[in-house]
Amino acid sequence: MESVAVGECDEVLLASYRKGNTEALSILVDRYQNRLFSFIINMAGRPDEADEIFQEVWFRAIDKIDTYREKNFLAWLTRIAHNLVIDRWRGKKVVVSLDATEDEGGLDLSEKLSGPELTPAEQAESNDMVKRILDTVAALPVEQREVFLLRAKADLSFKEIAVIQGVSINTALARMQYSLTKLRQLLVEENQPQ
Amino acid sequence: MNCDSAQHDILLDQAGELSTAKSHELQKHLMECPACRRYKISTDSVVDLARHALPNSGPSPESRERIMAAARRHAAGRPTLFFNYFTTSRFLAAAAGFIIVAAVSCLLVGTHRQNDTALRVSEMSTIVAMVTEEGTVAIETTSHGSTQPDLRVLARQILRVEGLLVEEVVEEEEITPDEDAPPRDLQSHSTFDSQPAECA
Repeated sequence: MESVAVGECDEVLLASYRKGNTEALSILVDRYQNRLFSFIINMAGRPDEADEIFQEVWFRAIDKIDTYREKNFLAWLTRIAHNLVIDRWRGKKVVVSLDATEDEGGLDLSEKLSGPELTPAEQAESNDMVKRILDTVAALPVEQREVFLLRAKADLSFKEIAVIQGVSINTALARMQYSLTKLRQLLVEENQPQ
Repeated sequence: MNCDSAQHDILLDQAGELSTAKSHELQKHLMECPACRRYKISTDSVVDLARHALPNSGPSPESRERIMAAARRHAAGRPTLFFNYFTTSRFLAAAAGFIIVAAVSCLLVGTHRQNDTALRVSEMSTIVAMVTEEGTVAIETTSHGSTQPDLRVLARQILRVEGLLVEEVVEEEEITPDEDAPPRDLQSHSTFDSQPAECA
């Protein structure tokens, strides 16, 4: 079996996997796992659930990989993830809160933001800021939150986001604008003198 | 450009989805509009901040291992590239095509055989009628299908064996040759005349 370079484009890796080279798929999983998982966990809320959805996305992708004919592999994966998240919400009727991420113990967000140069007071302030951002994002309507996450975390284009949500590009832009307005309001409140 | 469309274009520009011409137009608008300039700065900041604040971890190692195990099973489950090409839908399409072609072929062959059989029966009936009723042979040269010359040769052989062959052949009607028509290749005609050895 011929080996493939890590830097190969998606099409080459997919073609190699179709010929039976599982190393090619391993490179694809590595390439997209963070962006895809970030989107999922921000939508699903809980790390264990996000892990399940992440696996299911790849199982489905592997199953359908022979018929994959699209241009953007990440957008395709994200669309599968979007459908799985929506299905779970419909099935469980749960209200997803990003607050849960800290309680689950899997993610120490404050550590990600706070650098070593921060004083304890600054670190506390930063932690508070992170929590408020997460709360604000979590409080957004699902469609707006998804657009925001797909753009800010998965780095997808509005064209791709519009396809995933099944809406026009103008609707996707409007949803992004709304979510930005909410977050902007939060920042303004944060920076207002007490 | 008004401020509403500029705000949409700011988002598109951030995503790298704005054409060069549109991007220039946006830059020009931003130079002239302080409100949109502020909007762009705050938008960039908010997206940046949220990008860092939102959870950004990867899946568990077990999850990754299960995915790779599924990939290995899937890869091992593929018999050959040939079967890989023939996915279910392609296989069904190919099967449907084969059935249609086979059905049409059967119809065509059946029709041809019916016509051929009818022709042969008609030919042989004519020959039998000529031999039994008239006692003489008068084989007409007609313009039927390609099986006729062979039948005629066969008929002549039968008649010769039976001693009934008379060298009286009613030749075809006189045909006024078309002077404009190109000369015909006589060798290509399968008539008695083209087989002198048989006639002797």
